[in-house]
Amino acid sequence: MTHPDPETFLPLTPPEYHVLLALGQEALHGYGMMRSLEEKTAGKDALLPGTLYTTLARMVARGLLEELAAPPQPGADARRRYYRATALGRAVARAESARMARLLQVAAASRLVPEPR
Amino acid sequence: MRGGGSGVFVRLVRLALLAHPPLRREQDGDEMAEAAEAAFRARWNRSQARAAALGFRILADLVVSGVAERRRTARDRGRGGGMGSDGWADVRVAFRVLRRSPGFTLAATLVLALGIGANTAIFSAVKATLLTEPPYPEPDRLAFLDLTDSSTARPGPPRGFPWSYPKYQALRETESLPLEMSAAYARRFLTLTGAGDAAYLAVEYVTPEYLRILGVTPVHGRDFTADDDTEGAPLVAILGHGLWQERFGADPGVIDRDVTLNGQAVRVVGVAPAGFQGLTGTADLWMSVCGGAVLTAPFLVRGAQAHWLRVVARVAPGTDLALLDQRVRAVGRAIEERYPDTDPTVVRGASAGPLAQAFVNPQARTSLLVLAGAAVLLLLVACANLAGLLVARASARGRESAVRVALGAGRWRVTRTFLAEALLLAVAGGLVGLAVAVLGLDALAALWPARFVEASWNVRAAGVDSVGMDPVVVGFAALVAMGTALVCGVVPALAVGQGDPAARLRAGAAGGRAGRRFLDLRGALVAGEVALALVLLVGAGLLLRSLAELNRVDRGFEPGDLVAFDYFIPRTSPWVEEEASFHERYLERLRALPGVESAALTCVPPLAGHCTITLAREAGGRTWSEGSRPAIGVHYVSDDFFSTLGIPVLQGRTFTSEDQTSSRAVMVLSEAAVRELFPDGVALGRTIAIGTGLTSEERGPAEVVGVVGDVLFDRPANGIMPEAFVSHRQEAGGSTIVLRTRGDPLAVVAGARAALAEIDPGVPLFGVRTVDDLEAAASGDTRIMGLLLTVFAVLALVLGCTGVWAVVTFAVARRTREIGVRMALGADAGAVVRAVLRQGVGVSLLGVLLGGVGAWVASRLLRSLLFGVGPDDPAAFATAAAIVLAVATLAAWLPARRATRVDPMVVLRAE
Repeated sequence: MTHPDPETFLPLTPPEYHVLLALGQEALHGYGMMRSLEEKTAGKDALLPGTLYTTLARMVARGLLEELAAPPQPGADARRRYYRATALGRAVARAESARMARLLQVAAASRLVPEPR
Repeated sequence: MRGGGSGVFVRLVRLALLAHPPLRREQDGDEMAEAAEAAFRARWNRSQARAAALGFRILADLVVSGVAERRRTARDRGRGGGMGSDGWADVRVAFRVLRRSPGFTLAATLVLALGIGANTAIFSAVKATLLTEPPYPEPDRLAFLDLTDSSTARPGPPRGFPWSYPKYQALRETESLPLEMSAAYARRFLTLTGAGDAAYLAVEYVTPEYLRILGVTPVHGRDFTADDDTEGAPLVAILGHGLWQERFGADPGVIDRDVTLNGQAVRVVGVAPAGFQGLTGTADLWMSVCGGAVLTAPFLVRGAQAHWLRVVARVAPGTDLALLDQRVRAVGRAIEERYPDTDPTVVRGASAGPLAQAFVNPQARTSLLVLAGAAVLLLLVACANLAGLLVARASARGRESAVRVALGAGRWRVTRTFLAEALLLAVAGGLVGLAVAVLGLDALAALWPARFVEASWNVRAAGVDSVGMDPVVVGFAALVAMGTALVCGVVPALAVGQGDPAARLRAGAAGGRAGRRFLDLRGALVAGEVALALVLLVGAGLLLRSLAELNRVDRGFEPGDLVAFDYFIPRTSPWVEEEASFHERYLERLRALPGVESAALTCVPPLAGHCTITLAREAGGRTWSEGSRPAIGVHYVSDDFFSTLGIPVLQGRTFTSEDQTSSRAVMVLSEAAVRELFPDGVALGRTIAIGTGLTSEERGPAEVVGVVGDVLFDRPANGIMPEAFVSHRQEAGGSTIVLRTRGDPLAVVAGARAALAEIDPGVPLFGVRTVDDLEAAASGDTRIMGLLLTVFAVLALVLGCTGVWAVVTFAVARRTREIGVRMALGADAGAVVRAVLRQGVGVSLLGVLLGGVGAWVASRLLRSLLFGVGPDDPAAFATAAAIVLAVATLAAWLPARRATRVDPMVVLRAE
């Protein structure tokens, strides 16, 4: 099984990146991703439902996410659809993060990054 | 209650979700809504303001992402052809489909353009003449006051009648009327000299408040004041804008200069704004009523029985016009008591009504509305035709539609494709239709100028006619186009929706035999078209027959190369005391012109009216009591009148140079006059006295010296009247010339003008008309309506028969296989063809039956335009039905005949 090169998916759109960040290693449904992102970024970034669900569909189509056939835990809500990052998705997330890190280094050299307080 | 806020929010979310494509809504819609609501609720518990802000962002995001998703899906799938889930995609697809069949698209566009254009043009005319309010400020406060006139001797309702100046003053003095301002006006004619050629101008004599009531302010100079309208005041005038530009070079310095009108110096005090020509619509300039009396005749202001003025008023705000009418009636009775009429049989009163109503000619209204109805029928035929075409294409694409429906496309989505096609065609048709409408309007205004002049408000902006395109009309066209699209798009969708898609898929391979019912959808449409065509044809037929009947009325004179024109000897002319000599000299000059065979003088040419109509007092010793005296028309003519017009002289003689003022008064009578006045048939040599002129009580009767054939002086619809002819030397009449020419009548007019100027350059010549012009004016609206309705009927018939032809062609094509097989089996193909033909003719017959009923109802509306034929004239119905059936049968027979040429081998091989 040959993976396509993760680099070809870069740059990710912000919603796609947020989705991958929110998911991490877990399997979540849409609202869960919204809550997850909100917690992880302390409310600074948010996913809105409209953009979120259209992004989810696109990411599944591109192979970055997969939909679970059954809820991840026995007690989870059976009506909802749960998504999990695929291996490719995780690879793309890592590649995007690396890209951003490189950019940050450049920005720091140009004194664009504020000093952490 | 906390729940309330989120309840509203959830509803808004559901609404916003509609922006997403249906598929997405099905899959994730519930989750999106729940997620949105949960996020909103969580925020709401902390801070309602923050929650509202978040809610707004969520809604906006839903809408934006939904639209973006739709675009993305359409882009991905649009190239597939036909399966677009997006409205815009449907339109693009429809555009491509239409482009692929340019013949169909062109035909459909033209058909629609015709229907939409005709309707728009006529609506524009109706709006300008019947619906537009007078273009003056607060038109609902403008009232028109009439005296009314009825006679105990003459039956019928009271007729509107002009005011006299003293009676108008009495009206003004009445205090109980809720009138803010009132004014009187009337049109007369003046001769202008000293500024270019002598010109014969139309003047409105008005009281000072006239312009103010209409909200019109002079653009230069000043308006009239009360001082201008007193006896003995200096003569002043306000020039019309057109006159000011043409004759005075648009020079503002003309103010306070004098111009010469009817030989008198009149000071110009103002110039009216462009486009204003008064309530009569034809005024070249305005003067005060008292000034007019000076230029024309003093009795115009002094005579209580000189009825020549119309009265317009602006009522106090909030006045009920019905109430005003009642009050005015009472005032009218009081005024009549103060100024009673000499004729005891006359009953006069007064009435008031809205200004808007005073100017609409009832016959014009009927004609225009009939025309509007005909245009609607034509549009319906066009729609039915287009719908039929679309249905045919839908059936041909039935397989594709069935596949789409089977794959879950949904009836609505399939319908949308047809709607998109119909919409594009309607838009194209609408645009072309606007062009058709402009042309049609120009043609209408050219054919029918009199109607538009008298029924519209005649405020012409510089250079643009009052009847024209305006935003309301364009909006109307758009509405019609949209309605057409809806009708034409939905009908084929109904056809597609019929039946089981699976069955259609199965049948598709075999050529799709969707039922052998006698009357399927297309058949019904065509029957409808034929019916409407028949209605129009019957209407046209009735009008054409009326026209024929009008033309059959014997005119009594020889038509051909005749031309008539008027001239006017002003008071300043040296000939004013010797008019008879002037006329004689002019007639001599005219006879000498090349191209003129003979020349005659009268006051009014035939078909245009009488010099005057009066009552006969005595004939051959017999008299009548007051109230039963017969009416008789009078004409003051030159010696050559009868020979010029080709009126046969039946007994005695006509006028000669022996008949002078000094000699015995003589008259020539028409046959009808002899029948009426001399029942024993002997008139020659006997005496006759009519009216108050030549044979007044003081002067005594005249001798009848000749009898001539009847001549039609009035409209054909009114028929022949008894006529009496008097020599112009014995009693002065008018100054209208009738010439019989060799060759083109209009070619001699220039020579006639020159000859007139040679005698007196101050005498203007105007009103040139030929026999054609006289006939057109006399036939009223019947001729115009006959022409237009015929055009509509022919168009509808062509369209309807195209439908019949198409239906039969389609039926034949569908059963080609069957025909081929039968022929191969040795059976007579003719039987199948005859069956197909029967269906086509059957549909037409149904249409004729329906149309006959419709025409019977509709033709009642034409009653006022008909002459000599009733609205249910069987000949008209039968002829129209025969024509429709004949043409329709031909349209069915042609394709049916082609079916007999089917080669069975070709058909079978194609299996």
